[in-house]
Amino acid sequence: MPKKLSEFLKDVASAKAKGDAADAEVISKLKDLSPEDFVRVPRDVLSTLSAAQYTDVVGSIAPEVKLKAAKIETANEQHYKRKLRDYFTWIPVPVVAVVASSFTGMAILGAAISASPVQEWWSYSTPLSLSVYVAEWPRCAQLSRWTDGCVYRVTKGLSWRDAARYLDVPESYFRHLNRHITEEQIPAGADLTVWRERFSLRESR
Amino acid sequence: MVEPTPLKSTLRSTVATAPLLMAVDGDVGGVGKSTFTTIVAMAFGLVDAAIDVFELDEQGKLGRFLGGDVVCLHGARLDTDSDGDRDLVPVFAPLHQALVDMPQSNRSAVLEVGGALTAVWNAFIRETDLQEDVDALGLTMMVFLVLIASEESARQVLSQIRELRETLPSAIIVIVCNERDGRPAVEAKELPPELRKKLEQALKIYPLIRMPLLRLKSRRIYEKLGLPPTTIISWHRGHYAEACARTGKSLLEAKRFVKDVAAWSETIRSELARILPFLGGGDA
Repeated sequence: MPKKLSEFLKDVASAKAKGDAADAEVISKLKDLSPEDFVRVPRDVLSTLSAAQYTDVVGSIAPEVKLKAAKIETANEQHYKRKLRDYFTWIPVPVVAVVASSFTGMAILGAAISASPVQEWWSYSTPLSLSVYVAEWPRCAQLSRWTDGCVYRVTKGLSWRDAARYLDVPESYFRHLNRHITEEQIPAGADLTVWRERFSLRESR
Repeated sequence: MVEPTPLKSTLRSTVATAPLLMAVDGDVGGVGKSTFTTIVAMAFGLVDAAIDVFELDEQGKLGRFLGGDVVCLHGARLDTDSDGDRDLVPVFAPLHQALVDMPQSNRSAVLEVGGALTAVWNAFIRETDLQEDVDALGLTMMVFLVLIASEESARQVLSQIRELRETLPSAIIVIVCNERDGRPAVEAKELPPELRKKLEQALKIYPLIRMPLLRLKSRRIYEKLGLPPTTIISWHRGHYAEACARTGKSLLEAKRFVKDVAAWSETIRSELARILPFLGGGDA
């Protein structure tokens, strides 16, 4: 090693050691202060302290004051973080893109498949109660497999079979439920009771 | 982005066999180009590797830190002729001469491109076809782009990388991350997404040199003094008498200042030696 470099490195080591000793001396002097004197220390003196040194000084002057300890990463932690980062940055971007899009696609597919059962479960998980008087039931907007506990007014002629199919209920059950309609074809203006016997009925009148 | 020049063949080179032509750039003023150039000169000096220092600037900042051996290229005063053209050859003549002499002199050269003068430097590279000279003379060219944690600096560095890939494809680009305003790699998350992505990519591709933060109080004294780090560090030998006299500080403060400069400059020097192993003294 060239002489100049070797001398320089010795100088650096020596200056660092002496500087560290100076730092320790400053900290030692600060630790000897009373809390009253400490608060009068000029700001520029305190600004030269690292977070750990400041915590150390405050801990010595006022042990009852608990400061959040400064997080100092050990060489091992830094090494682990670097390894972890290198590991992830090593994976080629196209591979990351393919894996990410596969996961996203699977998530969307899963959501689409489970939407109907979840909606059904959500709709019926909390039982509603209806009045025993059908006249008090709400109007149905449409006839579908989700329609329940309401009265549907037929706007134009409808066969029993089609109505039962729309509602996904047995035709015989639906006819019996609506036995007030005697016609073979449900006429326009007729009120169809839609009930799947899932709700409890209450006396409200 | 064009793939960078492989480093394998050049990393192990020594000044004795291949003197280096270096440029320290970053375009934005005040990013630490002069400071870094000072450390480069110091690192070469420590291994007795001859180096000529050039400054494309009017400030004369390098001259303050390194003494009278700095050659100032008066690019900022460059006048245009009646056609609006600027004759760059006379401006860069001292650098060009040093470059031509390199194979015989074995002296390296470093040019600090002053703030906002990158365009003049780029024009010189294009007009004189510097790449041709570098190839003909078999030189190794290294460009240090100094980056701080700011959007403007990131844009300038990326823009200069693009320019150099076109005009000086054989140049080894090294990004110097000056941590003065935070770590550029960490602070990149604050940049607009497109810029961030490009910068992160550049930081992955090109070799990096870390330029750590010098404690604010010490930095102010260091800049005010305008002395090479080696001189400041040597003050510890005389019981800091010189340090106290020059800084006007107490012994304690003087010790801390010298320690700060020692730790800081040694970090940059060793980072530089990582990129240029001969600066570590092994091959010199």
